[in-house]
Amino acid sequence: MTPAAVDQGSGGRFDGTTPGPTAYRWRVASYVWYLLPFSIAVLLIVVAPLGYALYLSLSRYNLAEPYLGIRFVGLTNYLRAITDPYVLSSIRISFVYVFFSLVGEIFIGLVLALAASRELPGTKGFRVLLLAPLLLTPAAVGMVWKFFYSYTGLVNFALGRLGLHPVQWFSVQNALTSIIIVSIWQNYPFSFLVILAGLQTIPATVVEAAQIDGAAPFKVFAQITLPLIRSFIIIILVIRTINILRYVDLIFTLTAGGPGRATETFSFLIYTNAFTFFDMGYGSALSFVLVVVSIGIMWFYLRLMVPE
Amino acid sequence: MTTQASRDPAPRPAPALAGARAARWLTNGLVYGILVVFSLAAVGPIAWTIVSSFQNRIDIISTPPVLVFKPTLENYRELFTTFPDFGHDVINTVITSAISTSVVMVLAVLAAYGVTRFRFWWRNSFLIGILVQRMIPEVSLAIPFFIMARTLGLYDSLVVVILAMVAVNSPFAVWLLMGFVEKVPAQLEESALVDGCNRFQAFARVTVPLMLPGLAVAFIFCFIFSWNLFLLPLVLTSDKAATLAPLVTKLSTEFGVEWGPVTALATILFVPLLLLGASIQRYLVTGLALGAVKE
Repeated sequence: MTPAAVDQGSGGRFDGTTPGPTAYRWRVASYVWYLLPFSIAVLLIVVAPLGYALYLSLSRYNLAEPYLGIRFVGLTNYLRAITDPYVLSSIRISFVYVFFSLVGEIFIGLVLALAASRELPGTKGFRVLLLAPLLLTPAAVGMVWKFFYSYTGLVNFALGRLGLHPVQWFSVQNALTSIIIVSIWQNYPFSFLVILAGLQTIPATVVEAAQIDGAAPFKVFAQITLPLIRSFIIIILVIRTINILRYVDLIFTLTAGGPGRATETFSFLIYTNAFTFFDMGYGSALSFVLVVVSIGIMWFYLRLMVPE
Repeated sequence: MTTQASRDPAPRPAPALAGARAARWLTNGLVYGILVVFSLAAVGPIAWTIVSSFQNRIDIISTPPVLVFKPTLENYRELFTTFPDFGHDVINTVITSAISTSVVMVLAVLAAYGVTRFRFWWRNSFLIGILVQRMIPEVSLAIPFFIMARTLGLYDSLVVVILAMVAVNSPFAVWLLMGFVEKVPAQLEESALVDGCNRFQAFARVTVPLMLPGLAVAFIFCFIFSWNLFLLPLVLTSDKAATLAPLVTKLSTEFGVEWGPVTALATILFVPLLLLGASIQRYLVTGLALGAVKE
């Protein structure tokens, strides 16, 4: 698309990089008017609050001790994060959570996308059913699964029917697994959708040509299909990694970080520090660490996507 | 579009035919099997939540699960006794979701148009800024929002909930709408300009009407995200401006969680989402995938 073509005679400058007639130089380039409302809004409700949080992260500010007020303390909060044992354990928990959720989501998403992409008669309707969990309120999903996971609940009943022993789903050993299962249950549709979209970009002729050449189905998949949907899988990795790191909803209602602090992920640790201990300074410092880590993860994955 | 040749009904050379047909039957059976099993796994828990919400307090915790029972509304009634302002909370949720989504749509459609149709020196910075905004954890915003809301006297007000929803949803909406702006041919705006419209009129009278399906999809997505927003409203409201999602944490008593009201509240939260999802099912796939896949 060559938008510059549209600019002729319109008065406003369509393409801000090409110099317009001198008469228009003093004008605000017209694109600004389209971006201004959004930019002002973001400045006021995102950038300004984050700026304030940055200041808080350099301050000692605990709402439980309001009489001490806000005092600038430099990098104290950040240094404290390095020596905080809960930070280390929460990073480990977050890593396990992200890793196993992604493996599960992408595996199930891939299997379903391969099945759905065959477009056999009557399979269109399944897509809507398969997507349903993705739409639901995560906090309520957590609460409902807590019900299913209860000792005499649905999950243990199903295990009993399969001849297995009931499980204490919220014991120290099992709680994180329970969360990961629910996370996969709710989020595999995202991988399914994106991989399906990826499969639909592969021309049928490419696969047919390989089949005619006598390639075995698995070989076709591993050497043709998979490389062609690589960038789609990386997109899933980026978005899901960052989202799992960001959200506390599921954990909040399923385990609230417990038992003890066995399922306290990094973002939940931020919540605990800020809204249970009311240490706003330390909470802000941790949240900036999370923002920086997220940006780093995105940068890393995007490097993967663009081969040198 | 199919990616496999297996559907192709054209007869193939004779020798391999019988084996190929058997293999095709097998794979087709496998495909149906996978789809059925996973669909049940997806819908089963949702269906059971809804069923449970109509069971009385004995039936709901019975093992084995009771399938035949006398439906009761007692769980829904209990929501109103636990939360005296429950009706109010429902209205709050609808109002904040609708207003925040409308604000987001206005901001986002302008921004998406500006960034798609113009080239300017900070265009890339703007796009990266949107990406970064999308990555900001809710909890990072919750801290300054909480303190600022208390200072400005906005704590527990609908305004602060709406602002929080706009802050969270606006980058997604811009990202999604950019794809829909691109689909409108620039030539159509060009003809409008020739006919004497100015740029903004061309945008408002030609581009926006042609984007209506896209706007509807973006609206419904942002509405769903606002509806589901949990942490920010949890932290920013107590009762006057309470919304539904945070209420799920408030159904625990000293005797344990009240599963009846939990399933009732979950049903009230889920059913509108499922209806909205079904209403845009044609766009659900493209919308969600596009929001993710667009580069």
